[in-house]
Amino acid sequence: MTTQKRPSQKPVRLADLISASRARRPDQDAKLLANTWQKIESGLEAQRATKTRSLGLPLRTLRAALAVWLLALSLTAGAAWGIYQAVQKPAPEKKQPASTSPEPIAPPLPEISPPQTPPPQRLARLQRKPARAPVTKPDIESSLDQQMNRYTQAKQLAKTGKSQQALALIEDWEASYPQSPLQTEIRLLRVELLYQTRRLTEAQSLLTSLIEDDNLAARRASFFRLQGDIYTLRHQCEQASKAYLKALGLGLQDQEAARARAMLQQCQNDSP
Amino acid sequence: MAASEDKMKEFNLEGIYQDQAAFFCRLIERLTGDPSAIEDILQEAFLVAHRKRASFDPAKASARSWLFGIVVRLCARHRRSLGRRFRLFRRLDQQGINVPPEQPDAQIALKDEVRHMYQLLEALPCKQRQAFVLYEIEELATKEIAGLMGISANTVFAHLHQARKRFKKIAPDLLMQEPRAEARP
Repeated sequence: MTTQKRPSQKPVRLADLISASRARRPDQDAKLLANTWQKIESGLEAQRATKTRSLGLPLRTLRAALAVWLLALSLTAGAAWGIYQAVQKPAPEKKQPASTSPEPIAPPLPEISPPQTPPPQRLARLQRKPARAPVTKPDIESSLDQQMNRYTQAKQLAKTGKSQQALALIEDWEASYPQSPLQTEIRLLRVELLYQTRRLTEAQSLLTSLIEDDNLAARRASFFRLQGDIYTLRHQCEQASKAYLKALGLGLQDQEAARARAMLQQCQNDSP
Repeated sequence: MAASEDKMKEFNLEGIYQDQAAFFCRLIERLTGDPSAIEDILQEAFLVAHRKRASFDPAKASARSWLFGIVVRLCARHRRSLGRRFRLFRRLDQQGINVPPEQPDAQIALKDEVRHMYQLLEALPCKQRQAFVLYEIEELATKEIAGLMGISANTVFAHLHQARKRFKKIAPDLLMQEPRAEARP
């Protein structure tokens, strides 16, 4: 630490500084010493309480061990009982054919009347009704493959600067797979593409929802940086500066941070 | 094991506090330059002392020198944390985020001369600061300082000499004085 220059021109003597320091006696503050001792005593109490609590630890461990042991015992007993039951169960007797039985055991069953034919109107309705198409389960794996392929394709397009095409692909993708697990990634890509194609209002609203999403809290710094860029494009320097400061405060990667700082500087230079 | 238990029973923290608190109170302020830190560091030092009372052997060292080691370490930790805070504020300042100047009320209440002395002391390395504070401000004998710091008396003088040299370097307009008169060992 650098020493501050004293306002007076008079040279200072080290002896004066030393004697002034000697004269300063914080230990004469009886209240301070008494307060500190009280704090020490309460600290000691807390230490003792912690020690007492720590004595309970083996008991807790013992209780847990007992619980585990009882659980294991009950499982073993259950398994043993199951095995015993399986061993004791007699093998099922083979059914003898009915013809060989000497006497019928049960009384003869009443005769069943043949099914009645439905009335002609109902029959006609039934005949008109088309047969249901067999329900087929969607092939999730192949669907995911397709989703991944289309997502990758959109990213490639975005990389090569074909933002409009990429955006169209993304929109089509969102319509096709509304419940996809890749929704988050798609939203992130979409916001980038909206920014690139200068659809700033849509980008802004999507970005706001992304910032508020707690699941994406780790990427909030990048979102704020992008928000700053959008504000800069809209010549809203004050809001842009706020967004950049938030982004820098949350911590950006080196390259992004350097860019944000540069934009912030530019904003500050532009502002009157 | 039994010996250490006996030692722990003999350990009288309150007595040590009554004897030494005043000295350490002054020392903490002079080593950290921060009057608001006295209470916290003193409390922490005595709690640490109580926790480690088994390691205290009155036959080997006095309570003062044993506590001195603890207090010095705590003061160094406090200064490091102050340094970290200072660096953080400087970084925030560079990024254009306004940080209100932090100056505890207690420090504002210090006299100009005392504050100047503390600023000079802050520029010294740990050992030199300890030696200077103990010798010049606390006016302890060289032998006692050597005992507290666990160094020889000659090393104490070397630290004092280095401290003065550093003062000359950082504050050229400061009028130096002869060291306190004391019979060298």
